[in-house]
Amino acid sequence: MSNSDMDNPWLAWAMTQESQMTVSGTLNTGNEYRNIWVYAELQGGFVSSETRQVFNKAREIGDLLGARVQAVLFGGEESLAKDLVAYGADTVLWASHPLLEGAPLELATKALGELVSTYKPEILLFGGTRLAEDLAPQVAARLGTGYIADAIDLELDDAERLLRVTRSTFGGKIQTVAVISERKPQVALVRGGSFREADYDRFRAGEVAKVDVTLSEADVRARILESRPSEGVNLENARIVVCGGKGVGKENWALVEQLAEALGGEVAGTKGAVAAGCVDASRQVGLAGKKVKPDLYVGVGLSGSLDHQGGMAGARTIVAVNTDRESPLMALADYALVGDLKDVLPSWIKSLRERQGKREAAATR
Amino acid sequence: MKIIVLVKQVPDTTDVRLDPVTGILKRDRNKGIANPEDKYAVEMALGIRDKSGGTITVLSMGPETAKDALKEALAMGADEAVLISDPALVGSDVASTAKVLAAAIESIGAPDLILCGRRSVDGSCGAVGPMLAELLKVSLVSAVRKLDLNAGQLLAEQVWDEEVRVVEAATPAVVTVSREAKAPRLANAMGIMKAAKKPMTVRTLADLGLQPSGVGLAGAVTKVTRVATPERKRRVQAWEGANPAACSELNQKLAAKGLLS
Repeated sequence: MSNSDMDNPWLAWAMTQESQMTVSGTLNTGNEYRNIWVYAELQGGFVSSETRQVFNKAREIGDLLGARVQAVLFGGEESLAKDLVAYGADTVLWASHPLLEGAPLELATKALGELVSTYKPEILLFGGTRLAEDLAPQVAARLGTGYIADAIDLELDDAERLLRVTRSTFGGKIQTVAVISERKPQVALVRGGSFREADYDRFRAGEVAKVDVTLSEADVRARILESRPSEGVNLENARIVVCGGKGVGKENWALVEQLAEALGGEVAGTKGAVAAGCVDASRQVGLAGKKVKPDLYVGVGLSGSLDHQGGMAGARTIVAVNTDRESPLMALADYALVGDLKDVLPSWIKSLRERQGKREAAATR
Repeated sequence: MKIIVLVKQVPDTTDVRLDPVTGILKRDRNKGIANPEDKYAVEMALGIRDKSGGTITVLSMGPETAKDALKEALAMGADEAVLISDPALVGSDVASTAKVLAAAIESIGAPDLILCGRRSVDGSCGAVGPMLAELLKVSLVSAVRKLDLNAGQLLAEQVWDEEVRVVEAATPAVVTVSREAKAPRLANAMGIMKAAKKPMTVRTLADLGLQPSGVGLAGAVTKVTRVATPERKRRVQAWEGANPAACSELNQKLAAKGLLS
């Protein structure tokens, strides 16, 4: 605690409240499955954004259910456990076993399985990170319970104490609601960006409970020898994607590339554009290609087939450039430039370059 | 070297249509195809067999029509096919699918390697691989783009967000294959002809020693309670023709959202 914190009487009071809360007994030791667990993943030494998003919803469900929201933290510092309380955990189950540092998959699976069997949560939630996509189904299989991936919304059926999980499939065209009945815990993975991150409330009270797990070196099956940044294009994580379709054609493809450059984005193509030889197959967007989720997606000369939508419907802002006002992409788009791309694109590229030029001139002035 | 590759039959999503009234997927008129990423897994298996020898068994669970997806894999070069097909399997969730596939793999006999695509284009949970590894108590390496095997160990390049990880793991292992792996070959006429003569076995639940009550709709712990087509949330703001004022207005809208640098 810094000196300025010590001078703050409110914080000093909160600290005494917190220490009074630090008593055992919030862990479930009964036979019935109770409480909502959130697997807390660390990224770059902090609680991951996806975990914080899940806390927001878990808190709401916990309050409706009259259940405690409990975080499971593997490794890290005690200050991170306290952060989890600030994000909404009533209890943090903290296992600081040295083998759990960095949460290797098979060890995290074993440890989480053991903790669930001991403390019986009724709901176990994961934020949609790369690790959790492997970990969550493994834990569910280990416990012999059901698993629902890619949740975009969670609702509570409080009469039945069941979680109603909305999934989005076929690029958002179809939503299914599923429940895990007759088995506990109900395990779900929440897609990133589905909820707002929970607020950090430093005055929230909660308990950090150190828990033990049994792990040995012999449990390690896979080792990471090396980790390096991926070479080449990473469409899936690109912030801006400009995608051309069959309607662009080879003769006009340079316009798509120029637009991508003017916007500072990556070039991509539909299945049709790849087949026409406009762009490499590694840049194909669609159910049968890469799934992108950029902040800005621009679709040029493409109608937006279901296959294509499956690869890009997760984009935050969508701009369509097309002659056909009634194309399916227009129905998804926030903005549209309606017209022949041979006229519209040069005009837009020029306008973007002029804007950029003005900003640079202003910056050097 | 014994390799098992899981191949799922999925609707051809480049030809998927939605019922305009109900919004539900029309599956009947959609011809089934082998899940694209599973074909990447077949290609990876063929590469390993070329180097180290051995046999490739392709395994699927589904209706009789799923034989078509298996034939595709046989035509690419796999040695034999096994289809688990049983009316009681209809409505299986991901957990019971993994359970049936694990039993099928055990009945085929101890493989060195189990390969499958990372995700299917229809359900897209990406959960079968991880669940299978857990049920079989073997290593899991997901989203692999390059794989080498050597004396009971595998060395894999794994796609991990914006990183590539080099992972060493003990075999047997479940490896799920990324689209960044070598692209699958097209089956040629010779391959298709040969495929017709390769062994294709169909097994039922009873053959695997499984009870119908534990699988399919009866055994599914995950139940879909509602299917809906979401309302269109966006309302498009459109400008006609190539006019500079429109472009400038669009730029301002995008800049306000922090999308232009």
